Amino acid sequence: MNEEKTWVFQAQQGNDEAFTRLVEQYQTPVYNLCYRMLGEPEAAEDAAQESFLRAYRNIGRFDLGRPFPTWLLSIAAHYCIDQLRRRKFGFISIDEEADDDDRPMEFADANAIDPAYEAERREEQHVLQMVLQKLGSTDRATIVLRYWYDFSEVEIAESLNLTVPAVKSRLHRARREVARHLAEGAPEPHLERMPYGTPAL
Amino acid sequence: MEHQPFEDWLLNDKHLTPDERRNLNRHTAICPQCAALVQANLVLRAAPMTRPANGFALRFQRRLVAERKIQRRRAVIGTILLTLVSIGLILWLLTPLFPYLSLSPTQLLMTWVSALVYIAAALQAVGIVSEVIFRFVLGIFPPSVWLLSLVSAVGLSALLVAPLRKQGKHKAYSQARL
Repeated sequence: MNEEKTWVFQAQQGNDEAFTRLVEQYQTPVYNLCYRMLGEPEAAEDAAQESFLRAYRNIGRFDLGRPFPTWLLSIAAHYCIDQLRRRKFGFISIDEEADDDDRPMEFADANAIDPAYEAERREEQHVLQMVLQKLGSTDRATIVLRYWYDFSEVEIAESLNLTVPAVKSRLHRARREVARHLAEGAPEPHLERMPYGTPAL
Repeated sequence: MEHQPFEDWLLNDKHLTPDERRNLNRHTAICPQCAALVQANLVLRAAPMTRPANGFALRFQRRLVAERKIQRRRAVIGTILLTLVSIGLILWLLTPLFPYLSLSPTQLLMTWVSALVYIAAALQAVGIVSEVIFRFVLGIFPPSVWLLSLVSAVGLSALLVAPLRKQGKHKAYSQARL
């Protein structure tokens, strides 16, 4: 953690190498957030790059007393919400979007060697991804921050500029939606993470 | 037990006691709605982190270099445009003075003196007219009415400015976080 603070401090002084270390450290969490929000690997790559670029531009204003990952993921979440709103209102052409069948190239936890297991797991993830795409952009962000990053309701509220009751309400609604869509025919899940663990951070 | 407490437990991520867990298991066996919520929780908790293709940091560095080039280009273009606009503005402001360049020094001096006299006379006239208007307006209402209006205006301004300042502080805090 101290090492991270040192990198952030050095990056604030204009040290590009320190910022690159931060990029290496947080590329997976930021990319995963963008992928879960946007649903396409290419769009996720672009959004993750843009999020880091925005963080780079604004790192001078970052308060060292606050957790860096929360700040960084907040930037990425806001960027993705903006992108989804632009898509909704047609500011991004359909040609720019990738096919629905696009899948991420790699999973961080790729320890499966059984092809059938792997195929089933990919299918399960594809179904989940499709279900996520049915949620509203802010609801999606609350679910992603909650389940992939174990953010508390207060942290989600701070990250998305919402009130805590609004976050609770959105989380409830989003969970009901996910449950409803998954109940329409999802495969049995394979537990690979600790129930309250944070593999990303 | 009714359905609602179980749904609330699931939606609020309540840490359950062994008894509560047994009750929940019994309930989910007969309640498809709560069973679906449990299933959704499991699927979401089981979802792995996706990672970018190799070389993400390298691609970011390239993007940063490209961004800097664009920023430098923008800065150069901006400076050139600003310089051109400034030169144009200065020339435009100096345009009325161009005819004076063909005058002799004596003629130039006479012109300047007459211009200064004209400006002084105009200022004097404006002063006299303002004084007349000011006296007329003051005479319409008694001084107490003017004093009361002034106090009211100050009070209203304070009421309007206070929430704006509060909002401004909140906005600045939000921007600082981003």
